[in-house]
Amino acid sequence: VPEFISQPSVEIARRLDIRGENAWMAVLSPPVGTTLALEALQTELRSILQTSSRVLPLGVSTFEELRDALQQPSEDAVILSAGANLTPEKWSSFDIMRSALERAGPVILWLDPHDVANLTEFAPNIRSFIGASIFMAAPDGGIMTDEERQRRLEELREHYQTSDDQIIRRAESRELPPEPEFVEWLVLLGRGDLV
Amino acid sequence: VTLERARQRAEELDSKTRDEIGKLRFGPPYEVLSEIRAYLLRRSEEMVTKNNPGQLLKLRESNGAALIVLGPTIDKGPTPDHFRFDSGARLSFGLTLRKVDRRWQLVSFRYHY
Repeated sequence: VPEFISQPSVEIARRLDIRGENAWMAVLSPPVGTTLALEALQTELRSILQTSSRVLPLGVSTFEELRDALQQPSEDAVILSAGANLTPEKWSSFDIMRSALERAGPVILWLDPHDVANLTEFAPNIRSFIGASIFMAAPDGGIMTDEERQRRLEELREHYQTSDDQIIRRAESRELPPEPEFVEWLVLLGRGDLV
Repeated sequence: VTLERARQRAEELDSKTRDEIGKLRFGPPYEVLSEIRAYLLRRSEEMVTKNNPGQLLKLRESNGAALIVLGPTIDKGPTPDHFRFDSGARLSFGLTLRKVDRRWQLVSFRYHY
């Protein structure tokens, strides 16, 4: 599998936003957490492009079904999920209908990394649509790391001169003031149940 | 208007705002983060300011609650983690959401502008 640039979903959505209408792109699913990554991409497409997004499975649709689905509506963002079992014949028929797939809204081809070879070999026209726009789906940079969590906890301990245990004890006995900083403290400590 | 009456009005308004916010229900925390981030990205582009909301905004989930933060919790002056406006102002904030049935409720918020 060739090396492709890893991009989080938000950056993929921004690239599509910059490219405007008729944009095509391929995104390679991560080895683990594929469902979550696909959901994250849909979320970012909705937020960044400010339009609805939907997933259409490539393998199970007929030519007519796919064409109709892509045009009704034709402005939203569509993720074409290739799935693992897309045969060379299916890739070729998909390639032949290239012109029928043209639409105003962006199309994202969601592929297993190993499918890039099939795409290149059996769907050269689609491959030319995509050009160099092939990216690996990367984890979202918006998820707080443990190091960032520890830094925030340290900041709170230092400012309030209070330990984590004291905060938990006061929350358990319902004596913790409702200030947002204390609520955040509990979440950072993994005690969202006390919020 | 006396100072005491003004304070009373402010508290009433604050209470009303909290009640209204408490009634709101949101989608999953990641969706909330995504919408805020997209808004900040648009604002940043409009203002032509050097911000990177993609890296500044952070989400932490724990036991049915979620925290979305940008910038330091305790503001002690400008940092690279603040969202910067073209006016020179800086923004930091924190939102805490709690899962209620299948939706999410905003249970606390703070901001420093």
